[in-house]
Amino acid sequence: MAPGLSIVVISYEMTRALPRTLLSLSPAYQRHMARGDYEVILVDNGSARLPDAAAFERLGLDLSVHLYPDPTPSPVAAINDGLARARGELVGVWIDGARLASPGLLHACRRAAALHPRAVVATFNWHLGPALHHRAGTSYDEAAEDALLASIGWPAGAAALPRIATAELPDPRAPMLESNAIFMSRALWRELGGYDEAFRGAGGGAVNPDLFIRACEAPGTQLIRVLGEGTFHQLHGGTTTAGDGRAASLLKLGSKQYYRIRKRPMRAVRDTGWLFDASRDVVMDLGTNAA
Amino acid sequence: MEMSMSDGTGLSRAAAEAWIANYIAAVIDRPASAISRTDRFDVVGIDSAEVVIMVGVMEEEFSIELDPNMLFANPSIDGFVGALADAGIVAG
Repeated sequence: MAPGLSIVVISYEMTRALPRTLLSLSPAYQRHMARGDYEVILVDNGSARLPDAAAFERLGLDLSVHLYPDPTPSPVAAINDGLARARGELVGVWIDGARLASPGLLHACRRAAALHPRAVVATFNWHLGPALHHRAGTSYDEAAEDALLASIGWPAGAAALPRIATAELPDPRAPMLESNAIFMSRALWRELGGYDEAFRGAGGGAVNPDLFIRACEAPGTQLIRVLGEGTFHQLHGGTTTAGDGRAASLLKLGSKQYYRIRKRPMRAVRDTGWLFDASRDVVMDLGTNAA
Repeated sequence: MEMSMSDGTGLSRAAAEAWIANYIAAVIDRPASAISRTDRFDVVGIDSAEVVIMVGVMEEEFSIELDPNMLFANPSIDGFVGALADAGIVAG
């Protein structure tokens, strides 16, 4: 019997970060989620050090691990491979497997998705630590990150993650360019054609904003931003979070790539959509944020 | 969107200002005439990611190369275009 929810996680050289990410998706960690409710499809995109599938067995996850046979610097084909494997009616994609989840995220996204037949459920991105990782400087390293997580007793203390992290988007109504954990019906994913493989290069360039923009622009879709839950980036030397000043250069390159492919400027989604407050189970429609 | 060129030395300053104002106006859905040339971009209503995206579009439209740090150091239309003029990218 197919689970109701599938989660596609992409990994590349994440031996440190991936175990925490998968633990954060496990039924013991996620509130109101049982093993049979969902599957996790891990697609590794060409790591030299492969994910240790046996080490994940203790997590109690319905987990399948796939080694993408034709890896490229872009994760796009690997994501689409994972999407093709998804059996759930609701599918979430983790384009960056180094981001661990808050403990109510899956349940919140499932509830949010049930609010609209063509929901685009977007979660907010955070970075562990006192600053976004491309601005964190050298004093924040993996040991500091480990100590921070220990300071809240993670995973048991996961509810305190926002206290030790920095939001990429401090105002949840602000223009939104992408979401690391985005949930849509499998039918809507299929309608969109998954991620566009025209976006090549390390990290897929602007492919994640492109997917988000196309989803929000698709006829009849409803953006739902989930408050109170999110994903938390761990240090791993990834594409858009590595190095001072590099993030701006990479965003500029993404803008150029998008412009060449789509023949128009890449624009953050300014429609606030619905704000779903997971802690109170309340939806707020604040309209378009013009600020 | 068209931008007039100066006499072979680069873009004209006025055209660059107008292009940026029009770009921002389209992003935030306001008339270009309402876009302040002197306020900081974030006060105008466009965040740092969006101005970096704008730089990428400028590069594509005008076949020029721009350092996003010029925007962060000069975060207004006047300031940015002034920096472009100082760098010889637009004609003063």
